[in-house]
Amino acid sequence: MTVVRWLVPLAMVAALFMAFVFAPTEATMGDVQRIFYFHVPSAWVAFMAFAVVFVASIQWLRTRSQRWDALAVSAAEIGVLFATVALVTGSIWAKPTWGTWWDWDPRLTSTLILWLIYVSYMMLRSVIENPSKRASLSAVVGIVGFVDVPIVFMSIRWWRTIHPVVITGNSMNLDPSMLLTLMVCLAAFTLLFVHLLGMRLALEQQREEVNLLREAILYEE
Amino acid sequence: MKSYLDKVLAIVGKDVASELRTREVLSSMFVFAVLVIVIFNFAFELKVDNTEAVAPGVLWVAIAFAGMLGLNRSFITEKDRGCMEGLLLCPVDRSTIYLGKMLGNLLFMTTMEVIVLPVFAAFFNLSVLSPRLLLIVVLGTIGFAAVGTLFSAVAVHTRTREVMLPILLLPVAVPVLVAAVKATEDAIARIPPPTEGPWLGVLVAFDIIFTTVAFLTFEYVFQE
Amino acid sequence: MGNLIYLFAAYTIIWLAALLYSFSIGSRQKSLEREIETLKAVLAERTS
Repeated sequence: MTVVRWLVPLAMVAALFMAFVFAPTEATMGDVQRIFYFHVPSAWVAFMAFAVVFVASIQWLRTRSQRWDALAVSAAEIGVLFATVALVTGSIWAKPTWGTWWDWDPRLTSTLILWLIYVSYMMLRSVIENPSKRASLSAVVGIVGFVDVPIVFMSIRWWRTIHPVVITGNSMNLDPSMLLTLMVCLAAFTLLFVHLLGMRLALEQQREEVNLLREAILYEE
Repeated sequence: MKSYLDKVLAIVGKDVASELRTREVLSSMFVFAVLVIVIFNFAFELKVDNTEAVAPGVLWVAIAFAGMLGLNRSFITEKDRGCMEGLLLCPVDRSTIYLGKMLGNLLFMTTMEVIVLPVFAAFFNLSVLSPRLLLIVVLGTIGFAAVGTLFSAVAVHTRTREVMLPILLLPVAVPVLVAAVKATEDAIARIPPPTEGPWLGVLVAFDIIFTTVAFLTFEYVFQE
Repeated sequence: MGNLIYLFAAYTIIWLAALLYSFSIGSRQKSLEREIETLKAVLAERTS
């Protein structure tokens, strides 16, 4: 984990360099387009986080090991963080590009639904006191939520393309150097995700240690 | 296999019998659905020319919200009346409880819809008797009830109970709502099958996938 | 070039989000560590 910790700032600096210096300016949108290099990786990391929640949820139900529940809640929290970033940056990009803060573009809309699903996951966790019940119930929601993700993406995509109301074309011709920039940023964000996940997981394990210590003390009385 | 089905039907029968005595859930669902339709009339200033555009959405919002009233009932009143323990003590696979409850909810929702659809047709001056529209309504309701029954069971274990159900259910049910509204739109406009969208397919896929997932995960909701 | 303000806003938000979250975890970790030390001391006292 210490390797990751030192790699993260290096990777982020590399990503910044690529996004601001190396990548060419886009023909139609100008420099604002550079938001793309951090907006897309944010959304991607959110998706990865939710995949982790899915796997951790299944593993909790199978093994009942607290570590899996700790992983699930940590990944969900970070996923919501990155999904929020993706939505906000997408909206900031939309304003100068399409003239409006929000326009129900299929990708942004799907990300919004994703955000809502995992916010509801976090809310569910906050209203259940019993730890093992909390883990089991949120695991069920974590599984159902992730299975829903591809269906949400597809149905919203069809909703927008088959019955167009206002189609705002979002096609971008990706220069090879732009693609490279995107890949570097993606890698940097993935490293950032792993690092934050590790930190959040350690926090969760600390909480567990506090609980165990408290129990031990009560037992001694 | 036959006894499995018997147990499922027994649970459905119990819910139906209990509802027949008071009819309170069905009547509140129906009244709520009508209220939603009426409120939308004021919210959107419906005139004769724009009803067709708004009608499918209004119908499905009414079904979704009235449906959640019924879904909440499926576990919350059980727990309140102390029936939940009795149900859990039965020597049955937990999945029978899921199927029984889900079918019960489906039955209640479709009964409510049967009464609401003519009202809807009258308010919007649309024909609703096409088998195509009825199929869409049934498919959409199945999807909604499949996930809704599972999430209702989850919600009953929380501090906030009935409040949690819409928060959990509505985001996950987005594909059902999108597909159902679009399919209803196509049906009302009488777009012929070859040129219509993939919406029926989405509904069927959602129904199958989520009934299966809910069926498999339901037992974990009640484990200690 | 007025659009650069949007670029600036977007990047600021990303950095703030990542940094503030890191700091938040870090400070929660520190306070938990203190609590763990206290609890360990209490436990040691009780078992001796």
